Amino acid sequence: MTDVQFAYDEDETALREAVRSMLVSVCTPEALSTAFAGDRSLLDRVRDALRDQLGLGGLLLDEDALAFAGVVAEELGRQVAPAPFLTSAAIAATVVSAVADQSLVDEVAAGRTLAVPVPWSSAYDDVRPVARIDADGTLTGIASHVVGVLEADGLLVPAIGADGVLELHLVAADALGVERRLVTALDMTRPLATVTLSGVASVRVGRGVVVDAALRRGLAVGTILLGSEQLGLADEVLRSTVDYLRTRRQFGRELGSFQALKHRVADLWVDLEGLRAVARYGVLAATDPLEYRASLVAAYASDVVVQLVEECLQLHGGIAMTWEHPLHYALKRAKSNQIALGPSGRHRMLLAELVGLAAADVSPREPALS
Amino acid sequence: MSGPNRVVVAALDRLLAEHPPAMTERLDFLRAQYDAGLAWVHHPVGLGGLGLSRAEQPAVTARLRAAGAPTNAPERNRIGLGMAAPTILRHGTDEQQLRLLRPLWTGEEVWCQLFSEPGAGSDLAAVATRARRDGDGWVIDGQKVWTSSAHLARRAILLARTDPDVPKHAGLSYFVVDMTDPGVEVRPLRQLTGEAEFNEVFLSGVRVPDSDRVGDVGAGWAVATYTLGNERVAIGGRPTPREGGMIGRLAQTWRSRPELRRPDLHDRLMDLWVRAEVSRLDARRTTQVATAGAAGSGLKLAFARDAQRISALEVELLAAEGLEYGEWAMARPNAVDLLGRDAGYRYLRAKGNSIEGGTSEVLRNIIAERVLGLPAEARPDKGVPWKETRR
Repeated sequence: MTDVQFAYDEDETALREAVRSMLVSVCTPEALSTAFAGDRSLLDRVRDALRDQLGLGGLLLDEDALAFAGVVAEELGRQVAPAPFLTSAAIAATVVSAVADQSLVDEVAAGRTLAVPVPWSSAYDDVRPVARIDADGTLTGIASHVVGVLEADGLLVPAIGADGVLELHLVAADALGVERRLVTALDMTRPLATVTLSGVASVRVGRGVVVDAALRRGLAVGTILLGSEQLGLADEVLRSTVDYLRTRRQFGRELGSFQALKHRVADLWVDLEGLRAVARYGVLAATDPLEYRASLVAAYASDVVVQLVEECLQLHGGIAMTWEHPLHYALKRAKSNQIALGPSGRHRMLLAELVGLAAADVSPREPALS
Repeated sequence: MSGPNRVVVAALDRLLAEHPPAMTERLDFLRAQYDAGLAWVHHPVGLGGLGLSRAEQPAVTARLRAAGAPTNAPERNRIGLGMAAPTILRHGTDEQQLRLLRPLWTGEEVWCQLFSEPGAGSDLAAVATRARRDGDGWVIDGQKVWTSSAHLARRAILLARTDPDVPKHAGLSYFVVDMTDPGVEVRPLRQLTGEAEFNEVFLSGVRVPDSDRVGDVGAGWAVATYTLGNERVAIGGRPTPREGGMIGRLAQTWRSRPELRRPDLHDRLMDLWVRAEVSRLDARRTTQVATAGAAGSGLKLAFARDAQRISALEVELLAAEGLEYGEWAMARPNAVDLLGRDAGYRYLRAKGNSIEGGTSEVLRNIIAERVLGLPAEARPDKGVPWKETRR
């Protein structure tokens, strides 16, 4: 990791400014509120702007672009923006690239939106088929708690046939027999859905270990970029909280002059500094294994960011309990992100195996009480 | 990469030719190295340096090690090399620099730091040790504490009050004290670990010539702040490998002692492993992007928190063996080794990590005020003559 440049270079900074200025005008708190009424038009606007104005639809087809993708994810997190970036530009694009399906690679590069309908809580080591392949080649199955599918043009479905071999199939999102249903979720800015496939026609894009490796890779890349998203979210929440503490007055003084509050904020800043380091390491340290970087980022970011947002909510007092104040969007996103792509405890276990610190082998014993 | 600087190479060639390490007394060699400008290449010519970049020093050290040259045993004189020397170079007179820096660097004179007092810990500017004018010199009376190396030191840097009638920061001056003065008494300060890394130093009528005052009368706070800035650098900036710190001991015990493993300890182990690794990455990041000295405050805060948790877990992991303790006899270590000794020692010693070098509470204030821009603490002693403050 001798070559990790933690500072952002000029190109990255220019990209950040472009994404931020677009999101600040499109992704207002009022617009976010509509997502909680089931309206997905904000997501469409953000997607179109990312793809058509900024040309970021298929960004991740080139792995060298991971640092750029990290910058985009940070800015999306900062605004808690709904966008198919993580699901399509990051995860699905990595998967089609890994199975080397050139026509799909071209389509994603041209801005087609894809999604991999596996439970959003799946860690990269825990990808299972969500449909069976029947004798006529059609797919049948249910994928629940999946994200990115409502806005997708196509679904990359992990499926299994009678021979027990994992395959990856492309299904048109509007094909006959595909039902996509919005699920009311804690975080409506990343629309959660159930997908039901009933005898759906599909095209096989991969089979066997290559599919397993591609899905693993896709979700690991997604996990790293989720860390960048968490960084942007936490950075903005702490910044706005410090602003509030500087201006809000009680007992004739600024809240931020009370040491009890200053010390809580300082501790959050220390945790955030760590997140700046590990998120950047995640996208840049190409000489360290992808899975190691993903689990390190997730093991740190998931819990630290939830704690930061929860503390910042408390530091605001009553105002952050209102719908009008935008902090609740960040809380709902952060809490959902704690589960997304594998909870932190699972990543600590994965990390333990990767660094030779595996847990005890608990040998089964006869229960003393029965 | 360009090769080593030609001036450096020439100076090294001449030093090694004129003073072959195998045939030269240790001290003679070190003095010759200083006079050749190869002690601190970034110092001016005549003060142990060649006026070059600090980046040239590692090549000098490597070449001299390879040639079998002696070292100046820097671990014996950390305060002198790390804090007194940069302060004298910045604030000392030409005469002081010529007289003091050479024996400091060679290790002939070990230095200690007489700053903290029983009544002036975090609030260092409240020091009560008095320096009174007496002819062309000063007489010092007071008590200092937490002084490492005082029992070995020939000289000390001292912060003392020269004017009690002005607000606390304005009435301080900075001196160099001869520790062999009969008015200096050094007593070991035994810690909860059993050992005595530090001392109490009692100063009774200690005489200091005015030529050993560093900086102007009343300017002692600025000089001391410069000294302490160098301390933070010394604590912060070293790059470590993965598992290089205390976490490495814990991880090694986990790996080599499977019979000690328990599921509840495992999640704590991994949480701490992740935090230690993230702190290590953040230290690297900070050396690349640090914009303010306050950034080091966050690293120090995290280090103290994690060292305490890691050492506590290590004792628990050891189970029955965690009941043992290495040695209670009062040792007098030259330098703290946080990785040395046993887990019980590390557990006890780490309690000081959140106190020494800036308490975690003071560091949180620094972060909140200087990094995040929150309002400053109320200071009832601000602008009040020192002698009228409540102590």
